[in-house]
Amino acid sequence: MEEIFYGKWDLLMEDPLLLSRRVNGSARMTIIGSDFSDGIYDWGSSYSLKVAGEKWKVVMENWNDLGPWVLAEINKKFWVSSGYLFKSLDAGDTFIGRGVEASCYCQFKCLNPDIKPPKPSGKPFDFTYNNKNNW
Amino acid sequence: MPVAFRINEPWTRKHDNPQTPHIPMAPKIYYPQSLEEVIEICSNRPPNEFLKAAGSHWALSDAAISDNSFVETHDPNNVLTPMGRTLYEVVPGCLNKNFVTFLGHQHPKQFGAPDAEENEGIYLAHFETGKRVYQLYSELDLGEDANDPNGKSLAHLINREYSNPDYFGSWAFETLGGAAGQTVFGALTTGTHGGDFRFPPIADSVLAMHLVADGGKHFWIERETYPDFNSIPITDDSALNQLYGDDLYKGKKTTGLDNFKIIRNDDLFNAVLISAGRFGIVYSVIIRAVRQYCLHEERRLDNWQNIKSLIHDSNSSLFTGNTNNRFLQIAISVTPYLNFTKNLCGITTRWNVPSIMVTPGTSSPCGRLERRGNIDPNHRPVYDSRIRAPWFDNAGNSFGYNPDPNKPNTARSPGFFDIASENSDFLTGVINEVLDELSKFVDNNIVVAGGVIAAVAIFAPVALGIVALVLAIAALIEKIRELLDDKNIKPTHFAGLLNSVADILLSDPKGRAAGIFVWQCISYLAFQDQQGNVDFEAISYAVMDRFSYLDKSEQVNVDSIEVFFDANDTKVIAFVDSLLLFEIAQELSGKVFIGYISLRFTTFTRALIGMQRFTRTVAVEVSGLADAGGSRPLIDFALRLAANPNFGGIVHWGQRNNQTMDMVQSRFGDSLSFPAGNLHTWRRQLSGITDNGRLNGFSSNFTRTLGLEVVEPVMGSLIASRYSITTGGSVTITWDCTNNPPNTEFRLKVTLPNGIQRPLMRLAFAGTKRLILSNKGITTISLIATCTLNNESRVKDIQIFIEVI
Repeated sequence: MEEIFYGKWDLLMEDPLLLSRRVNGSARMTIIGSDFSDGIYDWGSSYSLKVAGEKWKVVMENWNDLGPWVLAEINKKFWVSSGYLFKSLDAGDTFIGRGVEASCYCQFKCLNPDIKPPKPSGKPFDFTYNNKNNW
Repeated sequence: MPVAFRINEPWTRKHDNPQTPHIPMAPKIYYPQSLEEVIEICSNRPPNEFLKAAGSHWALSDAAISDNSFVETHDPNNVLTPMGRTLYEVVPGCLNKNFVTFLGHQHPKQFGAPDAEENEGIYLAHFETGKRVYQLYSELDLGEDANDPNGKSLAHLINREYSNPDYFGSWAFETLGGAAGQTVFGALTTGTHGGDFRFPPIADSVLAMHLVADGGKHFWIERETYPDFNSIPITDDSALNQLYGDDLYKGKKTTGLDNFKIIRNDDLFNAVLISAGRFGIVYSVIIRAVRQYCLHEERRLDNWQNIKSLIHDSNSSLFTGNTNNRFLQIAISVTPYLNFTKNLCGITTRWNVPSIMVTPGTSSPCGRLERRGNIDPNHRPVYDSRIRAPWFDNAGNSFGYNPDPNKPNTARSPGFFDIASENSDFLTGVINEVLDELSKFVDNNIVVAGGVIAAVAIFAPVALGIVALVLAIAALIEKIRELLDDKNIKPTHFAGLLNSVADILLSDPKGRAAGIFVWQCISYLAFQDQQGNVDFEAISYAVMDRFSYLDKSEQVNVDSIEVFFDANDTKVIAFVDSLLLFEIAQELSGKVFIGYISLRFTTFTRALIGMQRFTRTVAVEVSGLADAGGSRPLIDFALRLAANPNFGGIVHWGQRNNQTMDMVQSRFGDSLSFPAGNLHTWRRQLSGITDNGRLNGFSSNFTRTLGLEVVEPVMGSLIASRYSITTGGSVTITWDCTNNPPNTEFRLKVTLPNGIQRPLMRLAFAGTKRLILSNKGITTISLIATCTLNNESRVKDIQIFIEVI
């Protein structure tokens, strides 16, 4: 229903189906408790912003023509890429009218340097790490 | 007789550097041998003496570290007599008649019966908490002596009263950790667990505990009900009171009954179960045993990147590969291969098997002779007066079980802890094999198909890179051969040799490319040999306890942490991947981690502050050779990840644990803003046993740092001599808030009828004070208590009102 975050994260929210911001979107995400980024983010736009705060949370909601906004179940997933911790929130597919469904999905990248493994400098040897090993 | 003790002796933990005792000079170490001696220690503690019980010293955290005095339930040097008896006064002497009847009508199938179920039957064992795990599993396996006409065990009682001989025979622990040298209570009270993902940790097998608290009062603690036993209480109050209310146990009270209390309360039980020794000394416990069983173990080599996505799916082949699978461990090599893209892993699974494979030439199940000994059915083991228990030749005195003498590596322990101090001969063989292949490559530029070089760097363009390293590789081969050939400098144990080889390979930045390559070759082959494919069957404890109690050329300085996550959460994958990336970066800078990452799975524990908080919990153990240059940095990084609230890992109480009170409260509740949750319940129970923290004899730096303390003051009495006086008259107030933690401060606030406050007055915990009041109206007198721990204060107050006329 809600997902807690700690510290500074990059938010990437992209949806090729819904490229314009709408006042009454069919799915939305609300950020609560952050330093500067609290607010409602509709799935009508692409966002890329930094969200900071000691502890803040994200709520995702769905809406269709039949009723009010309803809290969405969030499937979360963690992974590491390029040395960063990523977390995605997926509220599943939402019917947005005229037979179109949008995938309510956003992705956060943790910017806390404490939990980022150090990146090796350069590529010193031919047989060593490459693009396939998460760096 | 006074309790045996030593003064100003070093005190060290099993896995510390033997040359550097953790406590160079412990002021006092007690060695009690009975309940009355434990009561005596706790009754007569001077105010400035703090106590902490310790057993085998296996814990790597400071959980067992006292501020000054230690109470050893089992002398780690095996010289003095431990508190290691199996007790018969309660089981069966004080068992509830209805409970015995309930058992008497059950007919547990015998060990080896083809239709025996997993966790067949129920048997109870009551013992002093200094008994080691290997001793208890041997005693349970031996079973009671059916031929003893004077037998006093539960099996004898049931046979006599219900003509039911089915409780004779072998019994076993439902689950075990990977080693059994700890005392049973030491293992269970720190949350020790195996990888039995359908079972909770060992702590959940406890049915009753006998606690001696600060001040010497002792408590018999059970759960409120036992649904598994038709909710019948297991013991009888009057029998317990008669036994433990004896004046022998009266401590400083007038009678024995004044000093003893029976409590059946789930919250208290679940609090004491895992408590870092903060409640006192648990003198004895009753655990539930199940019918002895055999296990099949299967281990398969794979790579982490191939299987990691299966971990959070409880229906994946990892968990359900065999229908009856009960155990899962994934041991991961931290050193990468295949151009730094993969990490080997060994996947170990186990399941119960009904048939008993016997050791050739005997009628004993495989593993019994090797791990317990004394298998002659006509001769029961002799009673050893030092340990006050039957002596088993091989219990805690044998190598890890090996099903095939011709293949000494067949059932190698799956844990780094166990192999770190083993003889280095095995590793020497591995290194020589790698060097031979590398020599062929250096001489002829030939990469052997299926060999280790091809595994570590497989792509054609890469091979060109390696060819450029030939000269450097040749030089390293020579240096390593010198190390192996020189008996004077070659370390004798596995981990030490690996560390010396790493030093040779990685210390010179100019030759690092070749060094890393050779290092990865050696690590690959060593891990492949340790965690290669295995299938064998043996008696339960021979499979679960794989620790080699012999073959310790010397003790090894091991560092280890264990972090717990919800296994259904992908967070654990990110955690492991972050550690593997860390290792890549540090290898390239010339440091390596020597050890394993190991994942094991259990279910939820009922212990309030147990680490197994999830229906399917995964424990990630990161253990390595402390002396290796990259071990501490990687373990420190793992702790940093675990501490970060975005990961929110729960750290094992018994391993390196650098948590703060904030972190503990964020995991278990009871923060200032959220005074609820498991830790809140735990602290309330501690309050009940310790007069709200006044009895602080088992407080320690560890418990204070982590907040395993009473943190909330309670208000006692505040009364006035008169509640109505004339102006200028005096009133005497009396208060008593004795039952509070010593870190509580009391202040008196006097608010006059006009709202003006007099300066706050600092008060003792109890006392009287005379106040002269002149302002007409209602004066409010407030007593304010502030309990501060780790800069966090909790405040309570109480008020009385005086009318001035």
